[in-house]
Amino acid sequence: MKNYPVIFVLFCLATIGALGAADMFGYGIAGWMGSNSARSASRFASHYHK
Amino acid sequence: MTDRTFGQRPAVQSVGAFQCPTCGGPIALRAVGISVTAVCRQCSTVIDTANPNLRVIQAANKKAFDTDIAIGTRGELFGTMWEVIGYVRKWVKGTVYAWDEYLLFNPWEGFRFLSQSNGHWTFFKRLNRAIEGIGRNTKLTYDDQTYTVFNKDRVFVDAVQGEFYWRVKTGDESDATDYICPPYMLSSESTDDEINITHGVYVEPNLIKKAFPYARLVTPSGVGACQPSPHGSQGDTIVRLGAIAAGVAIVLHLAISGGLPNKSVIEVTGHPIQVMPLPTSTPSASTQPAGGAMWSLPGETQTAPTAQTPQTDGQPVVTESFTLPRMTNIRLDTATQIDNGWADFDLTLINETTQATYPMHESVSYYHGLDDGESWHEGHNAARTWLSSVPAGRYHLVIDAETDQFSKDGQLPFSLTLRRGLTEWSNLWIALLLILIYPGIVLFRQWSFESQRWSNSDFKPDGSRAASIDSSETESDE
Repeated sequence: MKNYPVIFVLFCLATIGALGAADMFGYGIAGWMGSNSARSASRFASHYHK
Repeated sequence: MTDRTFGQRPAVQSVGAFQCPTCGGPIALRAVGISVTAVCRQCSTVIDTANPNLRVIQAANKKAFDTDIAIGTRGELFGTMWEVIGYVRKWVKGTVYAWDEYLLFNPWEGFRFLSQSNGHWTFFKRLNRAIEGIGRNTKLTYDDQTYTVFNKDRVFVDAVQGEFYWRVKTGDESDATDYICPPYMLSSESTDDEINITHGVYVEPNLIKKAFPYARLVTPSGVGACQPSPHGSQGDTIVRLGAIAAGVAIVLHLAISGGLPNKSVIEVTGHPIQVMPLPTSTPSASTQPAGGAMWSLPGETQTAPTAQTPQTDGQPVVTESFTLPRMTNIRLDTATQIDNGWADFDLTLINETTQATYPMHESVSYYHGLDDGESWHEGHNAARTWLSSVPAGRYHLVIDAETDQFSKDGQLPFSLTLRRGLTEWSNLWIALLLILIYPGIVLFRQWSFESQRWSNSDFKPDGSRAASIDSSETESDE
């Protein structure tokens, strides 16, 4: 039988670690989306102005 | 109540083997000297074996049916070899709810009961003492555990087979009350002059199959009254761990957020971008007012943006240099005075040392009007963009704009603020979602399991009567 609580604790520690690192170094979904929208906009612009 | 007896075993001198007084069939007792009632397998007549004349308690003339676990079968349960010597089928009066009870016997251990309902099995031992409030209270304490009432019914004996150490016959009635504290159950059955209290524990069907391999076992359906939750102790642990982890995540996020600078690096206000109409192939365009002009002279018609509206290209604005002391996120907030028009901003953050560029794009559009007397608006004349994990260094920002609106002097008024080291709340929401999703599933499964359990009860988990029972009783009282 799998020890689900231990697996869950490891998962929680990984999640909390990722949260801490993201907060410390300025990573986040909003920024990721901002970067992506800029990339797709510049791709569109470069294609449009060819 | 005080004159009732609590399960004392009668001391009788019953015979070991005899012939049925009704049909003459042979009957052999297994608990010789203890059993006081026996049922003939040939004709189902119930006989008083404690009576020297083998008095007939209940005459019958039908062949005994086969029970799922055959009378006389032996099987090992909880480390003891038990022999099935009796069977009683009980019925809740006025319902279709019925269950089987097998009487087990071991010469050294005495008697036990094995109860089967909807394929779920409970192993009962009789208690030779009273429990205060049993049959009356909705909650009981036994062995430092709290039991909640689960069923309280008038039951009658529907069928009997084998032999018993008490007087029993088809049609006997009693008041039965069950209390549960999974995997345990406390059960009382009372008549006018006797109360029997038994304490049971849920038995997994596979253990019954192992003990009685030749038994015809019913496939379990639903949830047994005292069936322990399969998500039980591990589920509770996971919910507790999830709550702790969520708390740690919140505290950590708030602590880090408190230490973030959340500082404005650049503020560009009242610094309009010079925008000029692009050359157009439309001959009349040069003679018309610039499309989308935000301000016009009295009498001059302001045109709505159309397909013929010439686009404009702004002169890039380069901000003064600024320093990001460490890797951080940044946020750009842009506001314009766009009115029924649009503006696109291409913002490029340039690292002056490495020449690395970080392009961003912001689109602003704001339209409003009146349609059939109803005002409407869509879009905003402000925009916000985030950028993650920008490395430390010295930067400047290049702002380029296109719009279909500009003032008479070819300017697009706007303001821009760049901030660094901001709290991204979405990080916390995502972390909480990830942490709580599994405990949420566990809680849902536990709730679903308990709902199924209590759907078979007339009571609620807090011991109160279920609403449907209350209303039906109220109606019947009236």
